[in-house]
Amino acid sequence: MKTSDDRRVVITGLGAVSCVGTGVTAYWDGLLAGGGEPADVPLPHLNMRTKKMYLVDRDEVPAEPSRHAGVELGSSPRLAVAAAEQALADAGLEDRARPALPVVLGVELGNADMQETQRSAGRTAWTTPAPAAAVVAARIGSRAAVTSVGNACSASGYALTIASDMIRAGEATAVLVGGAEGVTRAGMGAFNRLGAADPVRCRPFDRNRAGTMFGDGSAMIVLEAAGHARRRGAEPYAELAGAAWSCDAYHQTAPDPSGDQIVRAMTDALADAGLGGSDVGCVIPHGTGTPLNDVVESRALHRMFGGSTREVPLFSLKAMIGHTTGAAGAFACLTATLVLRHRRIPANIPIDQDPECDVWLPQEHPVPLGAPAVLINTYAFGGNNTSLVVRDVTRKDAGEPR
Amino acid sequence: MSTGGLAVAGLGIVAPGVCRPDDALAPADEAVPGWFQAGSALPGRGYRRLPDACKYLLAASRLAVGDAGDRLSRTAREHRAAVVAINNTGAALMEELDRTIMRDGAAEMSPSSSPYIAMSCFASRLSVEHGITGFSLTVNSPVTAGLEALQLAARAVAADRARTVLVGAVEEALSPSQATAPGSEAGAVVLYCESAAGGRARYGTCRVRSAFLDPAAAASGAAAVFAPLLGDAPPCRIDAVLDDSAVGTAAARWLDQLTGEHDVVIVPAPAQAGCLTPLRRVLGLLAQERGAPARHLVLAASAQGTVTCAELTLAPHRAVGTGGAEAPSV
Repeated sequence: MKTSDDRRVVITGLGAVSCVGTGVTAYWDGLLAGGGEPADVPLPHLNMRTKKMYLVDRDEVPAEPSRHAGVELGSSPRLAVAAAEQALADAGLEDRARPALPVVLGVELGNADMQETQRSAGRTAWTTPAPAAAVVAARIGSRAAVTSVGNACSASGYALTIASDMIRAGEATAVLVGGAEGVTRAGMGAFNRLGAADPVRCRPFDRNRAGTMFGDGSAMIVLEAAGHARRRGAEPYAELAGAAWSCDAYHQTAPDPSGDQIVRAMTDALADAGLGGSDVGCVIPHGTGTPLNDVVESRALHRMFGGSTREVPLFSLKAMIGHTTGAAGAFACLTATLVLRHRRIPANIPIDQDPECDVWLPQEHPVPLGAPAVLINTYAFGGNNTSLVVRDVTRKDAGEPR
Repeated sequence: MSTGGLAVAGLGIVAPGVCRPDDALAPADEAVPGWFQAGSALPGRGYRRLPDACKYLLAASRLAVGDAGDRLSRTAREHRAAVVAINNTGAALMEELDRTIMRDGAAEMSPSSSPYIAMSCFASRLSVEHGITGFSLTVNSPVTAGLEALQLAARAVAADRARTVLVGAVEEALSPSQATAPGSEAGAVVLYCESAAGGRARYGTCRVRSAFLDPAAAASGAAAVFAPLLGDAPPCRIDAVLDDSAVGTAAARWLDQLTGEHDVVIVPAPAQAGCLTPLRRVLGLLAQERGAPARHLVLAASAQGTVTCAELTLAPHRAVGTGGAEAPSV
């Protein structure tokens, strides 16, 4: 019999590979230390002005799996597998649970680096661009549903919602969900061409921001029905308490200046969580560094929080690990979970803040988390928006300590 | 493993050699130049510079929305949604853009084409066209994404994220240098869907399940995957879209044992096939004129291991174009 606890979704496992290191401890320490630094992208024929990304140390990109079903794999599926294994080990799920574990992955440019490297070498046959979810499923021994979401920069925000809905609907008791991206020449080239690639670094909300800068890596999360976690004695990190989607229906690349749909996503996500604006102790914004996005999102936050907006700390994640595109929502969820776990928000990278972006970005030192929830925004080309609410778990959620 | 059901109230397809939805069960024609007349399918301004796949999708969506009568216009914008499946769409364009970078530099890339490095851009034009503000979701699992789109739409409707969903699949031909054999797909399919509980099931309802079969252990793992996926009482008619990969071969062998009690039709998929054929099959079955309800299963499997099946309950109806809005050819 299903109980209300089987409809509540908690986070019981975390894994990450990013520019600040491998593993969740390295990730958190890296954020406290101020994040990573852009580096030259190791792809041939990179004929463009901005050639840097926030890169995973190439020695930490796993060499395996190198193939799946005849397809040569680039870095994205291999990073995904590494982060997935971390998350499963962290969750303490038994091996016998793996066959029933669905995999939901947000992947935008997927296997692009392999295809681009092959193209530079004169090999042009097309192979599937999005093998990562299947690669992870094969590696962990899943026989359950595998979903690959291609919603650009909000892909893993959508993936997290899909995974949560699967648990709420009773389709699964646990889901492995996340995002993974490698390097991409075409993606960088397009952002260069569109005037959306900052040559300096990723500096959201800075008055001199000139676009975004990509980052690679993978963040993976085990979501679980609260009752299932409790029965097996798992100690949840946090609860994914609310999620909502919206679409601007406005423009191919630009956000709707009104911000109506991103406000609706935030409002609906908080309502889904049964929380109000005063319950939000931190916002992890989409905050890409593209001039219009940051202004529109700042104004939308004012519509959400009204006179309290300047009292809600923002954590500008992309300034530290770059814009991880399809994996950005998963990295934001991972970060929110760690903020709740440690009860503090890392100091933001110092910026010369744009007065048009009238939000609070604490830069001097970490600040304590003053309310039980973290609000996450992820947006994408086409006006595809998600907002997620991660909140702390009460004592009754905790099982026996692992 | 199973999600809530969807009712299908409208159908739209643009594909080489297909004039109406009930033509969709015929083998796919080769996409010869000129097969799609954008001017007649998409009259008006603002379409000329769109990639072909965008035009296919928009044209198919217009047909599906028109076929459903005034149902979309009676649905609030925030209750409208789209779930679109793509695999090879954008592949040729991506190659062209990347070759421009390699040869001339990124500054020479086409500014109107550059956004399409993001695969969700192909679906986003749909949201502008139809005032969709509920959500727009793009999925890209090899081969099975079209059927998965139905499953995701059903789950989202059940979670009250939308009331009407345009569920589509779109593919675009690979470039000559990308294709290893003839037969890459081109065209688009769109189904106008609502909740099976309360929606108009003019053509029928569908319910979708998914699983994963590790290609490296396909033969030994097939029973553990397909038996629960198909359930205890699968429909007597099964159409299976399969290639000759290890997963496709294992699926075909497992389905062989059902022969006798079930009518199994294998629909061959070429090696680089996209995700259009399985959803096209669903559309074609829904569109067939019939006098009594029937059950039918469409199964698809990819070489990478994704496996999805759509169980259809086909509603009695007259031929498309005689019982509802006319479905014009393009």
